[in-house]
Amino acid sequence: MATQTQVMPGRTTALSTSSQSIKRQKVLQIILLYLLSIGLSLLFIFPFFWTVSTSLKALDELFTFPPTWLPAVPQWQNYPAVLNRVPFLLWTWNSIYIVALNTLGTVLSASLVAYSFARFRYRWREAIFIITLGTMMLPDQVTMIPQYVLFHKLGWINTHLPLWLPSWFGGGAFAIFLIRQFIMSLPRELDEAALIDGANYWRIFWQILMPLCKPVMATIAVITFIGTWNDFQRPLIYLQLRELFTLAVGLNYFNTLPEMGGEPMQALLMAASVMMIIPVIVLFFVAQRYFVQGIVLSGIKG
Amino acid sequence: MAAITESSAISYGGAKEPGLLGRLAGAKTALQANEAIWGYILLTPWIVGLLIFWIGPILASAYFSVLEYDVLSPSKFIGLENYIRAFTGDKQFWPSFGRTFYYSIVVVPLGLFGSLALAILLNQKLKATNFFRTIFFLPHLTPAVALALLWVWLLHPTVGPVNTALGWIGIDGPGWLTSKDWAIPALILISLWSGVGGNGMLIFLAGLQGVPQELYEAAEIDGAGSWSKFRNVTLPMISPTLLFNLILGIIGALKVFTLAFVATNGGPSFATWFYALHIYRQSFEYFRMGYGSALAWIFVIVLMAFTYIQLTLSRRWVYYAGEKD
Amino acid sequence: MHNSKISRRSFLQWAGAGSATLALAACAPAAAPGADTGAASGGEAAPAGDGGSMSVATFDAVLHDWQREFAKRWADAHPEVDVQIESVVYGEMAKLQLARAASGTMWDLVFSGIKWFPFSASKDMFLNLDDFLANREDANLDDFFATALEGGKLDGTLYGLPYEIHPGNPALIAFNVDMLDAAGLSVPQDDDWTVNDYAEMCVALTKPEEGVWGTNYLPGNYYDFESIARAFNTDIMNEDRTQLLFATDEANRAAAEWITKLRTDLMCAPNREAAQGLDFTAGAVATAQHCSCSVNGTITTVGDNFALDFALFPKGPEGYRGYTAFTSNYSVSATTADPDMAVDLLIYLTSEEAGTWSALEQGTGQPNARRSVWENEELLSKSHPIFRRVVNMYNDASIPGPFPMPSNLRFSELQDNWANTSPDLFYGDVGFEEGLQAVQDAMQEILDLPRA
Repeated sequence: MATQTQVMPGRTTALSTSSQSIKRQKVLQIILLYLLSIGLSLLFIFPFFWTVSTSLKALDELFTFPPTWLPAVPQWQNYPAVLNRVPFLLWTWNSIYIVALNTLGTVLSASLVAYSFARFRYRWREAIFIITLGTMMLPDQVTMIPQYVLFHKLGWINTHLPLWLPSWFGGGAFAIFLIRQFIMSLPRELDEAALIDGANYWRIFWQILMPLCKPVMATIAVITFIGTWNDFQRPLIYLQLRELFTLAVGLNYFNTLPEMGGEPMQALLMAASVMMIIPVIVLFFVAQRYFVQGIVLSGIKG
Repeated sequence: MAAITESSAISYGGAKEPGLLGRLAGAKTALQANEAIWGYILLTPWIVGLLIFWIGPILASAYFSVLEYDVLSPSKFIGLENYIRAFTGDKQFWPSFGRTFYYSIVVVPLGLFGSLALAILLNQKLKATNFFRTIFFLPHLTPAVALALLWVWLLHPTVGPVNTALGWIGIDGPGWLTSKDWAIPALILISLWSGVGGNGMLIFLAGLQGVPQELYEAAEIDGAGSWSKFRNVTLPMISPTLLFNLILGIIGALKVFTLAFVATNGGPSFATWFYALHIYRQSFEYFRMGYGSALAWIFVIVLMAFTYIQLTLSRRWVYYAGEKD
Repeated sequence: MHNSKISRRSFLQWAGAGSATLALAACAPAAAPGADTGAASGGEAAPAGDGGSMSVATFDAVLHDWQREFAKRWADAHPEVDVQIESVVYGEMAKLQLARAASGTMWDLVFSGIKWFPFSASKDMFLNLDDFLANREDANLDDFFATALEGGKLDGTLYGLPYEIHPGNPALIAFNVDMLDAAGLSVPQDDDWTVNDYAEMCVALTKPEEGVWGTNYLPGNYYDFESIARAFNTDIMNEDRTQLLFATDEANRAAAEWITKLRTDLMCAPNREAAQGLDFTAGAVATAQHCSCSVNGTITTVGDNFALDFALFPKGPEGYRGYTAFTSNYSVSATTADPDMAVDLLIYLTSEEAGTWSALEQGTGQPNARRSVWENEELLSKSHPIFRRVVNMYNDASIPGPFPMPSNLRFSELQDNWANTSPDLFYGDVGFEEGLQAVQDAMQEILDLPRA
């Protein structure tokens, strides 16, 4: 700047004024962006806030007009009350163990399959892979009915088997795809060095590739967890006994319960919803990094 | 001579002829055969799964679609009657398709636009970007069931906060989920709220971050303003991600079920009676599995056609950096 | 490198890993509760003897504890039989029956709501009771209300015995007597008022400035409309249940017009939006359509908030009355191992003893469908006087009440179509003729289909 001043005095003044206004513009811009972000955040958070607030309201505060933002006295007992009204804990346990089995099955079997696609050469590999990708594009409706009939003939309706067993057979195209991409990004030299040292495929898979694949495994685990926890349509068609319900179907059932003595149940419903959402949010905060990574991996390298 | 050839063949191990299985697998050497066979073995769980849970069912549903079948009574072959009934005799067939399309055509572009806008916002390198990203993503984590219950309550025509807030600025809020005309817009609103900060946004964000800085700098030197930079640098560079999100977005939107089922159960007055709901009703509540299968197949064909059209058209506007034409 | 040796070893390793994971998977569900039927769902089993076994499905609700109670009593009286009692969600029972029947695991004793009972019976799920009951005098079939017993039949054959009955959702009108007094009105006498009187009353009771409506009457189900159709001396369908007479019959049109006028003309009932969450017990409507089954519940909820009374739904303009018998039946599975024993339990569950117990001990508002239970003096004296009037209605052969099941048994579809087309008409969202025709077409479309 100093040199400029000497060479072109008039110009300098003009420059410094415009640089000031540019700075002001930039600051203004940043302030606007922050305001926008904060505004959007409020928009996204408000429904959650309203749910929690409703869940703590007393019966007579629910239908007042204009609505009150916060309960006068938070009715914490609404939460245990849910447990009395419906077998919420049982449903939670059902959801948990189905999710666990699903996640385990997906991670284990998808990684085997992805290993095959990524590191082995054989005829029809590409064709099978393309068919695999194709299943991601199919609407579930077309496989839903025959799968139901199949499980019907096996006598597995009203058991939890249809909800987690299929994931042990390959884990689904998305998981296979993601892990395959990841393994392909690991240098083949690792495999080859191990082969020369006399390792067999199992050792390579288990001791070399899998440890490196932890990030993508974590991603798959998180995505599967959330997907299974929130799954509604499949438990809906397979489960008809109340004790077998998962949280998703249970919540819907709770919603359709006739009111006991005409009492509005919104507070309890909201409390139940909160209890269903919280585990997912907690998991997300803990595993955020992997989750984001995984979504990104799937979208870009695709 | 023979002895030398043999010994050299043995010492090189890999030059041995592959067995029958290996040859079938396309291997040219024993080593390759081993690899190929192992490749197949590892693939087995998926092959089994593919056959039992995907290919088998697809073929089975094609078979069901020409039957009159409820799981209890023996099935009856009725040829193309299910399809004929769908196209001409089912009063809800065309309307439910129409509603599903209407919903998708609005939700997908708005969603893409919203996700992109949010991604751009997050890409501005504000200090608390990660925090905002998390907040924006939270709605996406909500299970659809809870989402429906939450929003039914939020959109309550008389005591819900949405209409109350509208009342403050002098607008008489509509009936939302209780009104025939506003039910689908209400569902669109809910979908956008929960989807706009979700996977699509993250993918866009990654795509944006993958645009090389030099391109922007080159554009600036050429005197491009922000809009021009966006149109000529950003958009083309993220067009693959746009296509990806578009295809997945449309498929997802056309399958809309849980939200409609829980929030409005297809009403009021069929307003939210979407195609997926129609299939469910016919198959699992009226027990007409044959007809439901026919409906599902029609759906598959439409979806395939849609995707094919999208992919073909995409060659015009998607720019793959580093690809030779 | 010896490929074959390594491949054998590593194959074993892979196989081991694979079976380990499968074994893990197999163990996990066994460790989890609730996956077994009959064991974890609050069921009990009597000490197993060699009298065979009997499985009973019961309605999963507190008011239906009597089913579990009496199944237990029967089990105690028959210690050689292994009785398994299971609680089932009412709304899921239709699908569950289908699943169970197809896999051959139907309970020996199973309950059905009238909504799906004929469909299940048509699929040969239930035992034909006519022969078995012919020898059982304690079945006492004459004790059942005629309309209730009709609900247990399909094509004239008896497949189930009713265990509860109520005359329909809009069978009664509940009154907020305080509001009536304030308007200078008195609670009408059953035989003394018609729908037109009711409409007048509602207009007088509507206070828009206080947000109070005169009534919330709306036939949300097509069988609710049947009640008012009968009050207008007609029927929503023709006699063989193949044609809908909604738009074609003068009396039906008149009934529909009366309902629609409440909202479009007289403004004494809320429109679609205002009706959300409207609560009679909170004082938002002065009168409300009411079922006799929940009378006790409402009395408890209202408590001291206001004076409460009930009357039978008004008569039609020419003095006719009607109701729709909503029943639930217990049936025996067609594949039961010991039909005689099952029928014995069936009779016990639907006996006067069980019905009286459920009414007196549990306060259910829809006790057993037996005359002896409803006319039990102790019960009547403990209950609201309206029950006596309901019984009189059941006993009056001139008042029609059988449930209007379409001949093709496609109940769900018919009801779904009604639920999606009739509100437009009744709320006045579409023109009267247009709305009428829309309902007619949608419902007739279903009636034209072959039997499910």
